[in-house]
Amino acid sequence: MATTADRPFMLARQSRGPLLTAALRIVRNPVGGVFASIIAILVLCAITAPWVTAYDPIATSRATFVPPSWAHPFGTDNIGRDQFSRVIYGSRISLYVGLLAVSTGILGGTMLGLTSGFLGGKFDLIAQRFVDSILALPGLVLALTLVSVLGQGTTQVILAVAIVVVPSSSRVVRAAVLSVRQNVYLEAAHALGASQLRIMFRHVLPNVVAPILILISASLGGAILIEAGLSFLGLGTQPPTPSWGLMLSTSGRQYMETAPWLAIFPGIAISVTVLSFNMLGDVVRDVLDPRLRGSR
Amino acid sequence: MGPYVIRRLALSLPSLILVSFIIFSLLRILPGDVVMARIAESGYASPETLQRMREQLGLDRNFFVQYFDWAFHAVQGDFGRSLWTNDEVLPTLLGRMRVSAEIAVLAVLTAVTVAIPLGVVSAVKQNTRIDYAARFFSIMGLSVPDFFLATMLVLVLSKYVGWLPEFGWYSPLEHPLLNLQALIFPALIIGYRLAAVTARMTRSAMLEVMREDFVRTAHAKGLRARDVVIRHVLRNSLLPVVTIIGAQLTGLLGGLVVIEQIFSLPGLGRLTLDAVTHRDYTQVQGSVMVMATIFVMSNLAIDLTYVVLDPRIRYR
Repeated sequence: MATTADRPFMLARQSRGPLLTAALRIVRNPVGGVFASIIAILVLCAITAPWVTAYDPIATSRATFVPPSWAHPFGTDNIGRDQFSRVIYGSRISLYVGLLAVSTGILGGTMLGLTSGFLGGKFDLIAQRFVDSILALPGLVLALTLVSVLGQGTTQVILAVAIVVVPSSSRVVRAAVLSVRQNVYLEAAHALGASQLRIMFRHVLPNVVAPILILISASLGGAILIEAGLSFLGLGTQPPTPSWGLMLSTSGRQYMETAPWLAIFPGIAISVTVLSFNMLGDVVRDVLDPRLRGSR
Repeated sequence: MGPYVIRRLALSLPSLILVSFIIFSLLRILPGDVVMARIAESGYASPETLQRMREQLGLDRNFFVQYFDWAFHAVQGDFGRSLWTNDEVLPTLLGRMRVSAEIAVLAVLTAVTVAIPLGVVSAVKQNTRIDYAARFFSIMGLSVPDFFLATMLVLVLSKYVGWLPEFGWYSPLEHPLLNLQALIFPALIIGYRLAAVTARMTRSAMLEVMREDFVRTAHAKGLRARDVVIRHVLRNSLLPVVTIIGAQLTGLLGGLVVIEQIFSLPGLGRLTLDAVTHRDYTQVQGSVMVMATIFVMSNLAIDLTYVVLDPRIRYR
C-alpha cells in the first residue's frame, strides 16, 4: 500500500478533483486567503487600469513635482505625469512579465526535466551537463548577457527570465520524475502496451504536477524582481512605458531629495507584489507538499 | 579525500568547457560588435576602416579559429586584452573581484549572525508571535528589492540624519575606516536578503531534526533543553544551511550589479555590465569563466565542509 511518504508529491484525492481541492485549501488558509486577495486586486487593477485611473500614464502636464494630494494620490513626476496612473499601469508590466516568463520557463523546464528523467541514459547525461553549465552562472549575469543579445525591451526580458528559470526548474522536475519512475503502475502501463510518450504524459506528468505548481508559485516573486532589476539598470522595459523598476531608477532616484514620493510608491508597489507572491508561494508549498505539513 | 577532490575537479572540466563555448557563441550572435560600439562614440567610419579594425582585433577570423585561439591561451591563464580599454582582462578582473568579494564576505557575516539565531528561535517557538515576526522579517527580505532598500536608506540618512555614507571604493589596507564606511550599507542590504534565505532554511531544517528519535532520547536522558537545541538539533541542521549559504555566496559575486551601481563600487558585477554594453567579448568571457570557476570550486568546498559537520560522511 502506497503511503504519502512513498509518493511525497501526491495530491489529496477527493471527489472534487485534486486541483480544486488544493486551491480551496490554499484560499481557506488565513495567510493564503489574504495574499490571494491582494494578488486578485492587483490583477484587477492591471486589467481595469484605464478605468480606475483619471490620467493618461504617459501624458505630461505643467503640474510637475506635485506632492501627494487628492487630485494626485501619489504625486506627479518631473514632467508632470500622474504617479498613481503610472503605478497602476506599471502593475501590467510586472504581472505580464512575471506570469509569462515563469510559465514559459517552467514549461521548458518541465519538458526538459520530464524527458531527461524519464528517458535517462545518454540524453539525460548530455542534457544535464548543459543544465550544469548554465547553473554555474549567476542568474542576473545570465539575464544581463541574454538581454544584451536579444536587445532591450519587455519581450526580451520575458525571454531572458524564462531562460534563467529553465535549468533550475528542470532539475526539480527531473528529481520528481525519478522518484515516480520507480512505481509499478508505470510497468503495468508498459505491459498493457502504452507507448513511451503516453506513459510520460498520462502517467508520469500528472504525478509531478504538485512540485511544478510549487515551482511556479515560488518563482513568480523572483521573476518580478528580475524584471524590476533589469528595468532599474535601464536594460528592461523602455521609457515612456511605466515600469516600477524604471520609475525608481529614473525620476525616483534623481529627485529623491526633493520629491521622495517618486521613489517610495513604485518601491512599495514592487515590494507588496513580490511579498504577496512569496507568501502565497509558501502556502501553496505547505498545502501541496505533505512531507512538510505542519512543519513550516 | 585527495583522489576525491581530483576526481571532482576533473568532472567539472566538461561543464567549464561547455560554459566557455556557450558564452563564446552567445556573444557572437549579438547584432553589432565592439567595433560598432567604438565607432558609435567617435562618429562615422568607412566600411574599410571597420574592416581594418576587425582584422586588428582578430574578429574577422573563422568562429572556431577564434574560439580555439582564445581557449588555448585561457587555459594558460591568459584571457587576452579588453577590446574596449585594451587592459589585460585577468588583472582587471582580479582587482574588481576584491571589491565584490569583500562585500560578499561582510554580507555573509551579517547574514549568519542574524539568521542562525533567528531561525533557531523561530523553530523552537514554532507558531508563536515570535515565530510569526521572525518569518515575516525573513519573507520581507526576499520581497523588498535591494535597490529600493538602498534608495530608502540613502534618503533617510541624508534627509533626516544629515549624514551620507561614503560612495566609491577605498583600499581596506590604506583607509580601513573609509573602506568600512563605504561598504557597510551595501553589505547590510545584501546581508539582509541573505539572512532571509538562511533563516528560513535554518528554521525548516531545525523543525525537521526536532522530530528525530535522537532528540527525544536527548530530552529523555535529562539534558537541558538549551543543550539539546544547540548540540543536537542545530548541529544536525547545519548541512542544508551551509549549502544554501554557499550557493548564495556564489550568486552574489556577479549578482551585486545593482548594488554596485547604486553605491558606485567598482566590482565584478559592474565590470560585467559595462563589458556587456560595450560588446567587449574578451572581458565578458573572462568574467563569466572566473564566475563559473568560482562556482565549481565553492560547490566542492561546500561538499568538503560536510565532512567537518557530519562525521558519518566520508569521501573516497
